[in-house]
Amino acid sequence: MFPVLRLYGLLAAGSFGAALLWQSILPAMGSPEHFLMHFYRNGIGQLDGRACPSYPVCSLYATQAVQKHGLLVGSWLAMDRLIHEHDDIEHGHWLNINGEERLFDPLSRNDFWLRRKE
Amino acid sequence: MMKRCAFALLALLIYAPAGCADPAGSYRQALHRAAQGDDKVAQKTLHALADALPAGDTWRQRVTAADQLIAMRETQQTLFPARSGLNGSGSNPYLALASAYASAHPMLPEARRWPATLLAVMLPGAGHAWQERWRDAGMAAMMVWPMLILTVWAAKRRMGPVTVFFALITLWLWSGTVFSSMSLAERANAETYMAWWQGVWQASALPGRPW
Repeated sequence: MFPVLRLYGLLAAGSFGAALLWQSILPAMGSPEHFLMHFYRNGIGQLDGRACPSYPVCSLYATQAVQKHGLLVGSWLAMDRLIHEHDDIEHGHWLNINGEERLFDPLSRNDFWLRRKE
Repeated sequence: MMKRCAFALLALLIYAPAGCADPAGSYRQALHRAAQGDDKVAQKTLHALADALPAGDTWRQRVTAADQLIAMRETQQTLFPARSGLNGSGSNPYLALASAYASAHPMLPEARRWPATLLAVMLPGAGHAWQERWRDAGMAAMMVWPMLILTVWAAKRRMGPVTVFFALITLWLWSGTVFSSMSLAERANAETYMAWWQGVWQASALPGRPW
């Protein structure tokens, strides 16, 4: 009985690991930051539920920021989003997207001054 | 002969659109471009349109006023053209209306960027607190302080590479909060200016709106 259960557990864990690998790791073998972001969005993000109240969601925002400004400034912009959404929720611009209230905070709202300096 | 024909055709293509176009349509197109953030193209169109219209024409006054207001927005100026003595703005009724509004409604004071940045450098979270973003200040402090304490703890225990790793993470997080403080001050200033400028535009009674 126990060897069968052990085998079942092993197969379940193996298939879960393979699914995770297939979904999150293989399509994003390009750069480390791309891989991490893809892993979060497709591996962890689907498991922990919707935590980001903004539109676009924080992971997509971070991806856009890193693609546009590189790893360092992109990560600072992502960090800025995580910090400033706490006060923005109080008086931000709300959108209704698919029946859900979302705080409208696109990248262009926060990186315009970087483009101006460029 | 062929060369002359080609030049004539080219000149027609360049000058005919501004001269022959319906001013209302061209004006609308320019505002549409400005609304999309293409202020330079909008200004060029308005400028060409103003040159093509006869002096004293209502559309010429509108186009000139719109051109000047968009130029103001682009450089975030608060000094109004009518008061700064730019040519032709004194007799323009649209600019006169906008100027009257600007005199009666001065812009709200700007968020001071450098104190906010300096405070964020000296004390994590203080830059956000300076801007009265209290929750953000708490979040910024929570990001940096635990990692800073951990770095000091590792340094005291002489943990070598672990200390370096913690220090780098702390540096990254700290610089991120400084960036955030600076970015929020910039954003607050830009949004305050835009709210004021939109009021100026609406007061000018110009048709349409470039946002």
